[in-house]
Amino acid sequence: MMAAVMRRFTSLSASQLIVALAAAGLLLLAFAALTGDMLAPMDPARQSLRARLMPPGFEGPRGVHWLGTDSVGRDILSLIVAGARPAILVSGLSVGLAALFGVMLGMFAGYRGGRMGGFLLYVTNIQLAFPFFLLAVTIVGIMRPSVALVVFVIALGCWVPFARISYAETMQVVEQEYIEAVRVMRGTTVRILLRHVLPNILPNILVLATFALGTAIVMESGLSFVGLGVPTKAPTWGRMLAEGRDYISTAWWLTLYPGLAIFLLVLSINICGERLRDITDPKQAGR
Amino acid sequence: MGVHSTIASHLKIRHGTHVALLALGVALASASFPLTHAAAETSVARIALSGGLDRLDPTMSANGTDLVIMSQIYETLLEIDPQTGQLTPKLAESYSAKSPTVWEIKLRRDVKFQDGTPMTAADVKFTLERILDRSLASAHYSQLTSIAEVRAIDDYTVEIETAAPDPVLMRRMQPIGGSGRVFIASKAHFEGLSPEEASNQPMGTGPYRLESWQKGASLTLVRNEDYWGAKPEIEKGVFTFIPENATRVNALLQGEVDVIQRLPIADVERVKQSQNAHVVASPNGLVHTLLVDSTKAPFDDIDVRKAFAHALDVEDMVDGLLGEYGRALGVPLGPNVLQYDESIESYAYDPELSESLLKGKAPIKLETFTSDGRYVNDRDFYQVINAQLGEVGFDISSQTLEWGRFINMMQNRSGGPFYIIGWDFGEGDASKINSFLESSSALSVTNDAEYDRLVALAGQEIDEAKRTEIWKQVQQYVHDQYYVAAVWQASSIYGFSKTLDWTANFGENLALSEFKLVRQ
Repeated sequence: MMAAVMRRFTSLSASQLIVALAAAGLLLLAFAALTGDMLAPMDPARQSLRARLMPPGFEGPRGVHWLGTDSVGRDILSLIVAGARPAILVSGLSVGLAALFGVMLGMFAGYRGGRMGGFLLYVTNIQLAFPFFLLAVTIVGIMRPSVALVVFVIALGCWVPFARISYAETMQVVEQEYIEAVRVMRGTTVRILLRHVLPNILPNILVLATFALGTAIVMESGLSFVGLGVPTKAPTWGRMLAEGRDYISTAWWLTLYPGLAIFLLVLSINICGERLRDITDPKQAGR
Repeated sequence: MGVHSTIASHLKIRHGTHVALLALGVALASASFPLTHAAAETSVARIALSGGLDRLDPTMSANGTDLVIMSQIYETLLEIDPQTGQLTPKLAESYSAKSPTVWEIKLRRDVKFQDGTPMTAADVKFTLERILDRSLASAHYSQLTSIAEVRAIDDYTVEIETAAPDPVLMRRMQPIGGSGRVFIASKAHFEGLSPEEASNQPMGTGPYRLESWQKGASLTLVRNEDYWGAKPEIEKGVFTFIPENATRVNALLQGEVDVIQRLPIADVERVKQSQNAHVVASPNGLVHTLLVDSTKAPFDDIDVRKAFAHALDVEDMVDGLLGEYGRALGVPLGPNVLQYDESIESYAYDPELSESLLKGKAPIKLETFTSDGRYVNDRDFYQVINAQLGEVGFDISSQTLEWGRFINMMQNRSGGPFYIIGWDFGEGDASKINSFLESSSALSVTNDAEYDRLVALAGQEIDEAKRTEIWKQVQQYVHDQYYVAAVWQASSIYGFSKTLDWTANFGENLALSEFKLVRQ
């Protein structure tokens, strides 16, 4: 049994192996995000001033701290596992919201065309010209940070590509003869968009969403880094990075591991996104 | 793939990899330090301050970094002896109380300003009246409100008349402490200057004068060769501004600067082990008070305040986060304060008591604000405090604020249910605690008529022994009322190049004139 698995494993090409690893990593993190702290070896919020700033592998009264402890003695491995939930939840919700809003707007503008389309392009240009981080810091800085606010702000930072792509794709789709046929048969706009346009553009949107997820995670970490992230009891990855900054020359593990977590998650998402794109791209089919 | 394999390997070999990584880090770090450090033969001290400068007008600014610079250029009438806590002469030769409301000050006759003109009673009168000029909104105004009139009797005699007896007035004439500094300025020099010019052209009687100031970049002081007092060893001081902790420490270790302010505790060992720097510390740093807003729910209830205070293991917190560079105190005063009551101990750690006090009230939801980087390890303190409060039935969600905004909110009494403020008790008098406890103060967290009555009594008592007695009563009262949940003092820690030495006494007052060159 084991040998069979191994053989199957070794028969994979290097690129397939990477994709498999990335997917496995993503599944693991998704599982961690769903189960919350249950996967964490220790209570991530539990502090111990006697065991602060201990290096990786330190064996304390609570067990072995594989990745060391932070400045108030919390277990870094447990913090990283617990941090998966806010990272994935917030970025997932943001991308969902951005996709919903962007695709609706893009499809509608693409279907109507003309002035509506020009207006959409105009709005997206304004949004693209405005530095996202400045906007985010201003909005979250004025209001008290909450999950909803952070999700809203990140969605604001990534809806544009959804709108533009679905706009362009919809324009192409509506020129097809069968759409004309539906129109003649008096199909309503909503029906045409949902039943006939959306299924056509959905694969591309899914690929786009995967990449946007990576961007959203980086945005979320960035906001947390400057202290404007989601308020949680235990720190998020971005906040761990910020908190570790003071100790970078004396306790490097405070910054290295959360940094690695962000890096690996975004890398895995991008690898999977690329594979997804290859699968959905008819020109690449069969690879 | 490289990253994956690193992770895999160190999950297996948990010690080996890290020792290797650590060794690599140490090797890299030490390789970047120049091993030979140019000796400060020219006796120039390069100093990195932890923040930028605002304005160098002694009447207007109470900003910490401004005060560091101004203390080299300007001087005060009196000084304080760090050992005894007693006032000693400086620009004044002597002072005496002619009556309960009249102080007579005799000035030294040999003091010259840096422009060569002699310092006289007219300058002292001008300085005090400038601070008292309401239209200028001086940062030190509130410290001198008891003054009714300042009279120049002759060139070297000044009389200050107060509206009511003010026994601590002379303590405001020395330079240590965060509140009120009366730096003597030249009447002739200042009268012709706009506020902007006065700030850009500081000129006093001190051992150093301003040579150049590139705003935002650096400021250079040179020795005042005509100084009336002892000649300092250091000829020139070059000040730069490095707010980021890690950068400041690296600047010291790499020999870019000779002195740094606010050396983080985490980096103390690194500096100690370096070849070119050493640590200078004073236990009389800021006294940190965990203030509880007793004017609003839930802390208007003394039981909740009591539960709050006993939920915290202050000794353990201070020991863990500050180590040898901090101490827990029982009352919100520095131990150097004359009236300090050492018989009062900090509240005992007793979570069971706290839980029982909160029975029927828990969970108490609190939305709090915190600072990050304003005080020594303040973020860690807040995290530990929040966690320990969580154990007994408080439910806390906190938000970190930028300090300028935070202190503004505190002054509007909207800084949240509890927060940490650090106080410089260098002036050595208990009346400082009125800043956060007397109901008329902007930063006050109480509204307590009994407290106000007691401190008013103390404020009018001229007899030192009786005054101390009343202040001890006040300390006991504050302790019993649980207005300040925890108090700890953190050392002021500086990093010095091995070519320089200094004995730090109070707060964050760097005295360039006291620096000594170390010949190696």
